[in-house]
Amino acid sequence: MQPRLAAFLVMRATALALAVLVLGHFAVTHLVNDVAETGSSFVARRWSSALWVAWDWAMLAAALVHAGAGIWLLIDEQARASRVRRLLHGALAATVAVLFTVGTAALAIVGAR
Amino acid sequence: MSALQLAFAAALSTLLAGVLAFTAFTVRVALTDRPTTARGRWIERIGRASDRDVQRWAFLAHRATGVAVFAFLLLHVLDVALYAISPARFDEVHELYGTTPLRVFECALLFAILFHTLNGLRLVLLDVVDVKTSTARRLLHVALALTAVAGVAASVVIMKPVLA
Repeated sequence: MQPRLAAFLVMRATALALAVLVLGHFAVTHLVNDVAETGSSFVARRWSSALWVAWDWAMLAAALVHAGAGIWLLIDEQARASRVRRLLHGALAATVAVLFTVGTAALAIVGAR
Repeated sequence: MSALQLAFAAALSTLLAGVLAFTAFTVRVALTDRPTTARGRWIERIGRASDRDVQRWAFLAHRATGVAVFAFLLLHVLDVALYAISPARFDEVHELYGTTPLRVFECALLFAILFHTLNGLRLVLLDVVDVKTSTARRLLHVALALTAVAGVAASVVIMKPVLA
């Protein structure tokens, strides 16, 4: 498969997943429950369920892939100088890698408790 | 305010300023890139935006809201990860989410998420089925209307505890 086609499909697939995952997440944390009541005891309760851990991890992964790909294209378009472009692409990749690691580690640590 | 809360508030304010600057930049791009054809300029003068202009605004709004949501995600992953270090530390930061300014921010965030999602679904639909330009435009209006209705309704729910 051509890389451009693959990127196009990944962007759409994560978009559809995020439409459900993010709106569901927002509804649960702001509408079904009031945000003031979603403190550590709420997180403890939610992350004791494998479904919500899977939900949150899938949301993290999909959001980072989707946003990473989107901003990669934004940089491609806005940064004309190749040196600047490479620098920004590198910074983006590093940011995404850090967030993925931190988020995954947090879920793994809590899961191991 | 504790040092941790102050750090969170400072980081959020910085990200917000960055997002506003980026939005201003995209709007400026949209306003300075005027139609190049005589017909385009004429259509603009009589007040009805050309289809290409509408698509362009939708594209820029999609981009600006996408960047805004990602900016919040940067901070949100970190504040939730605090829970793994210490639930008490997590609560310290999480307390802020219930304050009035943060609730207003959450409403704004929801509007951005709703527009980005609904316009995104429209774009996926346009990839899959061939529709007329006028239909694509009508779908954008539907996305905007749904964003407004759902956004206002949810904002009432979010703000209610501090308004009462």
